[in-house]
Amino acid sequence: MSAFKRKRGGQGAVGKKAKKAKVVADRDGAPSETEQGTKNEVTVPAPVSSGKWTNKERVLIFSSRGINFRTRHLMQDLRTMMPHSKADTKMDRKDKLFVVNEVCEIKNCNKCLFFEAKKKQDLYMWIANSPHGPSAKFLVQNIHTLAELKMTGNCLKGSRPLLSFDPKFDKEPQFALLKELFIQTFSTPHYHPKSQPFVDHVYTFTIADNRIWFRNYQIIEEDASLVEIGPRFVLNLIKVFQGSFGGPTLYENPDFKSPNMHRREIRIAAAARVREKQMVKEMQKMKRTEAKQDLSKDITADVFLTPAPEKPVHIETEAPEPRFSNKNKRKAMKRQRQRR
Amino acid sequence: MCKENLPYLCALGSDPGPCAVRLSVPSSSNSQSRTDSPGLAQVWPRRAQRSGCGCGCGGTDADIGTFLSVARHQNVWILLFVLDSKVGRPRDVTSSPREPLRTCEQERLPSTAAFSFFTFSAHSHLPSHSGLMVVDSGTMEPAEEQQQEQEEEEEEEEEEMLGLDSEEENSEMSDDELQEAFASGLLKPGMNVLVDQPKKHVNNVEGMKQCLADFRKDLPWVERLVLTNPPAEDVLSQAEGKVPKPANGDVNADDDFQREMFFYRQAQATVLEALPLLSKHGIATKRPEDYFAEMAKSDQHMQKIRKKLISKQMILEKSEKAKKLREQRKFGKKVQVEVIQKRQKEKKAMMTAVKRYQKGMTDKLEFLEGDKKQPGKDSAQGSKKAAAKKGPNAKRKFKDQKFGFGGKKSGKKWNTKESFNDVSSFRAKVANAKGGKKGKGGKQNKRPGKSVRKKMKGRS
Repeated sequence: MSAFKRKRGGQGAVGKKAKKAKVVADRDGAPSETEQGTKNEVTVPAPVSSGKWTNKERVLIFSSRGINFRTRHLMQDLRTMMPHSKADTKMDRKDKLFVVNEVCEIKNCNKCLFFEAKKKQDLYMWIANSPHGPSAKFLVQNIHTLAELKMTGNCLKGSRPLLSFDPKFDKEPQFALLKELFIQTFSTPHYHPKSQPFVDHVYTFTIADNRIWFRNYQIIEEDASLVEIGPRFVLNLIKVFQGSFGGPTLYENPDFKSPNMHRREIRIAAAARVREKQMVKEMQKMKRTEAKQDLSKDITADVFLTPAPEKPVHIETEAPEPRFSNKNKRKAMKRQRQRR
Repeated sequence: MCKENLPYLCALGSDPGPCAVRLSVPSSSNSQSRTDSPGLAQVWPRRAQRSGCGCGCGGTDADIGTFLSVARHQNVWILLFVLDSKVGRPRDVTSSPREPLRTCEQERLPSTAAFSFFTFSAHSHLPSHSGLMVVDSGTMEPAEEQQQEQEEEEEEEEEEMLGLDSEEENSEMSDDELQEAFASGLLKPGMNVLVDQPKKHVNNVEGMKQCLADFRKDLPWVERLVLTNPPAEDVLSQAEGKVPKPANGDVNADDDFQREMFFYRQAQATVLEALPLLSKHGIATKRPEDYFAEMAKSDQHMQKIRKKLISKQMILEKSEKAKKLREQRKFGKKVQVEVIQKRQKEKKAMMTAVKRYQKGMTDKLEFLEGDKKQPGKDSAQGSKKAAAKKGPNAKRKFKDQKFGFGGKKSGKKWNTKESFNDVSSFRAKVANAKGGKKGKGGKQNKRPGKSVRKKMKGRS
């Protein structure tokens, strides 16, 4: 590589035709192989953000204490995917929420993704526009991180994403607001110094079952064949506030049931079933042990009685006539025959 | 009672405070004074007395305290007087109107004397529900210093609601309020049950729209790369006629496969729409072959993924093979049985044919040749031909040679040069074996034991 003359500058059109080495000082990547073309000269393009980065969005991603490994990995994944993000240490839960605004200001960020874990079970996510703007609180469910082996796609670190929204986002005002918030938070600004110039993955936000489903796909071919990269999660909206981490409530989700209530309902249902069974058992026991009535008269006793028809009483006044039995007759005849 | 005296003052839900206070006025012109402002001089200074419930259905009168002062603010009268510590305990206090505090002091009121702060409206004979505020001065300071106490009491004479709130919480509506509500027709007779109001969920549409308008940023599409679109047509499954498209376009979140396919198709539609737009703006989606840069997932991780995929495939293949083998064995057993049966049949046919020939029924020897017409048994036929070619057996040949007629036989048992040099009958194994198995070394085809045979039987 030493024998090459390097010409720095924005020779974009020329550079594309020539086979060049893309070595940019700001990037983390390993230096690329150089194609031993016929030219000795190598054009290195100017750094991407040469005065063109205007959309200054910075997102602060951090969490409170008490998060578990999955949440931590999710946060790391989001930081990987979003080059315009900044990290911060864990916030103590004793501090009030508006302290987050101050942290954002210190870090010079205008958006914030704050993860809060409660009871080591439930994860809440705040997404806010830091100084004055709206904010929203979600319950996060079904988290799958980048590290899962079933998600086989891969993308450049820091490449800009395409954002894809469900048309349902335009139908309701709260979803429209959320859509704008998501767009501003998740889309990497053009010419961001840490971004890569290719667009090779797409985020989808869909509304199903009154929740927002997030997926990340890698674009493999130009004919739109996709493979999932991850992470993936489901957001259940709780409230939308007018201010950042506070302020008047603009929208409250009527279908939201707090996870505690959910667990409680399940427990109550189970308890109710058990109690019912017990009651049934007790009723049966009572029935068995209670004194049984002795019936004096069996009502079913005379069902099968078939009394004989009544005959008139016949009083005999005369002695019956003597009957001659056959037996003696036969013997008599037999003796007669024998005698003969 | 109410006709006799000045208007009642209704205290809201106060226990053990008085539920109503009746101010007794000596003069008799009270019915007029209900509508006008009562003559202050007449009211002043009188004993405050406790009466029963507000609508005057009876109750005991008891002195509760001493009236101190009165003021009027617009249409509201404010009466200030000192209650006794325990309501109902009679207390004989005479006080002059102008110097109330000093009289109290002189009288050495107990430390837990309380101030009362009543208001009532001059325009109705029913008191306004403005609330009884009772200050228990005993809670403020220790009991010994009465003077300080009284100063405190003076300071506390304005709004202070202490200690009664907890009692009020027990019943949202006191009896008096209920009675009044009933009288005014709000409550109907019958069983009235307290029902919680259904929780109202905030849905501030206007606020949200306003917020969105403030918050929205109008940037060119290139900055944000956003597309909103329904999922692409599911050509494959529609061609198969399997999946019915949900009528309202809503995906069933519980059907995992359908749901994921829905998301996939949505992404596909976006990509299809976005690619021409991107190329228009000059943003590439395909990176060149020599472009190496850090990826979101490390190479190590991708190796792991690949290994997992391969292992999955191997497992699948193995299971397929095992299945096939099992099937084959079953099939093979069948085939074996068939072959054996066929052979037996042939043997039988051959024997009958031989017998017939022996007995002279036929004189054709065609059965010896076997089934030449059957195709595909070449190897067997070939071996039979070869066997026939060798002619008589080697044993026969030897015996002919030994016992047959003709030829010199005397020197046949002596070694010749050729026979000496002929080492073809040397068997190294036999020669070198030291006391091996006798004879052939046991049966060559040793029949396997019972358990092994059973296993084989079970497997096949």
